[in-house]
Amino acid sequence: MISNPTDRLGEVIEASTTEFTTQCYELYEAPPLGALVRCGDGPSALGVVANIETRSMDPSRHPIARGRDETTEEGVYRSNPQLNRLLLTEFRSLTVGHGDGGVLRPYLPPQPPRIHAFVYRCGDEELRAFSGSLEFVPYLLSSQGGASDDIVAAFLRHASESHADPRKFLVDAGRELAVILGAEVQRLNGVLRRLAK
Amino acid sequence: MSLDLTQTAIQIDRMAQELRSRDAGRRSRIERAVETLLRFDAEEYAEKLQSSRQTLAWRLPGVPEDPAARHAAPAAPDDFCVVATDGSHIDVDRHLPARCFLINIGVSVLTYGSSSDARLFNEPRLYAAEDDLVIRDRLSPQREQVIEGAVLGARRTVEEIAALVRAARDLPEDIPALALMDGSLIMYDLLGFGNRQFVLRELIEEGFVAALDELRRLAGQRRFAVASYISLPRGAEVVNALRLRTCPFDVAECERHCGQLRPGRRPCDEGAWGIYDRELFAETLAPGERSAVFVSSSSLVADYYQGHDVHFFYLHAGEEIGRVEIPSWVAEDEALLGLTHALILDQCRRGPGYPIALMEAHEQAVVTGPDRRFFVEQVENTLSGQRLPVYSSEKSRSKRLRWL
Repeated sequence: MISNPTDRLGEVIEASTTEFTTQCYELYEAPPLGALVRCGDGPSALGVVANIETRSMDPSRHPIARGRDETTEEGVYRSNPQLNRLLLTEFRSLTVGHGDGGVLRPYLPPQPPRIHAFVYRCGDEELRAFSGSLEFVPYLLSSQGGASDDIVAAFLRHASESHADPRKFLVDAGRELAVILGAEVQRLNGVLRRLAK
Repeated sequence: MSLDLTQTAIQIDRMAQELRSRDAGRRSRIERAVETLLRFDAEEYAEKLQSSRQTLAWRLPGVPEDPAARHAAPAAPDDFCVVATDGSHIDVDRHLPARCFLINIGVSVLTYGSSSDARLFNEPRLYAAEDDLVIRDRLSPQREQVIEGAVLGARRTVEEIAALVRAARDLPEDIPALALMDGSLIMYDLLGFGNRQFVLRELIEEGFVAALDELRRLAGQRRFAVASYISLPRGAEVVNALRLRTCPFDVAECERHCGQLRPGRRPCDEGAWGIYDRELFAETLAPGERSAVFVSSSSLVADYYQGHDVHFFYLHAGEEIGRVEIPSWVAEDEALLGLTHALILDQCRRGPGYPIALMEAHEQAVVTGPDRRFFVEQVENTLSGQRLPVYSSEKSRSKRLRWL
């Protein structure tokens, strides 16, 4: 798999076995919640976007309101061009798999991705191949952070669009979720409602 | 033992009381100064300045227009660029195993309007070569000036303006631009070096003034102004000009007439003593307005600036009265003067309160406490890695180890 440099979202700046954080090259250019991303061409890790954060690059400098006299939010950035250089967008991905000799494995890689590994959003083909099995879903559902149900639902919605019959994919995914979350009816209903949206 | 805060607080209280008593007549002195400013006769001033030149105790500015004049800011252009530089340094530390200093220059280039953009970067440079650490008299090479303290401050100013020149060369040529420095255009760090002309020649003539020459050349090719901005300025040159107006003697012979009087008791102190120019203009300027332009009479400028006379005006920037210094070739060009006024005011509004380009240049330049510690460790580790002798003073070591 050879990637086009223009498709690059950013670079890994923090990595562990279970998750990695990517700093975006462009402000606000993070992939959406639940998107599948990969590190490098191996890929050394596949991750599902679980949290997106935009903040001041320097923790001791806090943004202040600047738009009182502006009519649009874009105007605030146009009038303060330094903001694009002083704010940054990062996103945290939960590692759900990796590449192994051309095969995508739906479980944790032996090593986390390297710092500065290039990060790309996976294309439809990869997404379709990876979402053929939902083995990693229980792991996602048990992830910390309180938003795991939303992350799973968002991932499945994205994945469904890569399949020829999105509705069939979601129905099948719902069945698998019913097995995984059988004992938690309320939670299962919550995830299914999110899938339907 | 750390600072005894109880004892310190009591002394701060005493200081506040002392300041309050010292300040008793301040309000009336400011009012008096405003009255004098409003009925100032620039022609009379010029005549008395001429007749008193040899006997004046004050350095008084040139006042080419009514000093009470107020000018509203012209509209800023839709598209423009502001480039600013600022610097910080790590001074020579005799407790370090290597004699060296570091200058870090911060640069911000902000483009506004249809192609809005920003470039923020810094350029650190370590000076450690033998020739980098001293200024030598070329006529008499055994005479040299070690670069540290105030001379290093001046060297840094030269590096700041050199970086400004480099950044200005890369600006888009089709839109108006302002190059902005922090502090004064006059290299006051070097005031005490009158007897070391080779130092003044190298730093001012070959450094700062050469850069001003290049900036003037760039201004000849495009709409481009150069200025420096001083926040909370402590200048009192305009207030001192008022002294000449209130001086009761035909010729101001300060030493002969008033040499025996304590400061505060001289006749000219009545509307001047202890007052800064900014306090005077805070009474007369409305937000956004600038004062008249004055001409600095600094001896450094007269002796070394080679025709780049330094002019200045005060600006009501919204939150404070700031001082803007400009070279004569900006002051004498009505369009460039207006551009400077409009863009600095615009920068202060975006700041808010202080030119945003200078603030970002400062942020790029600043060397923090942890940076300084890292620098010292890095020097020691690198020297030791190269098997060079690493020593430190016992004083420095004891400060780090803090034995109990």
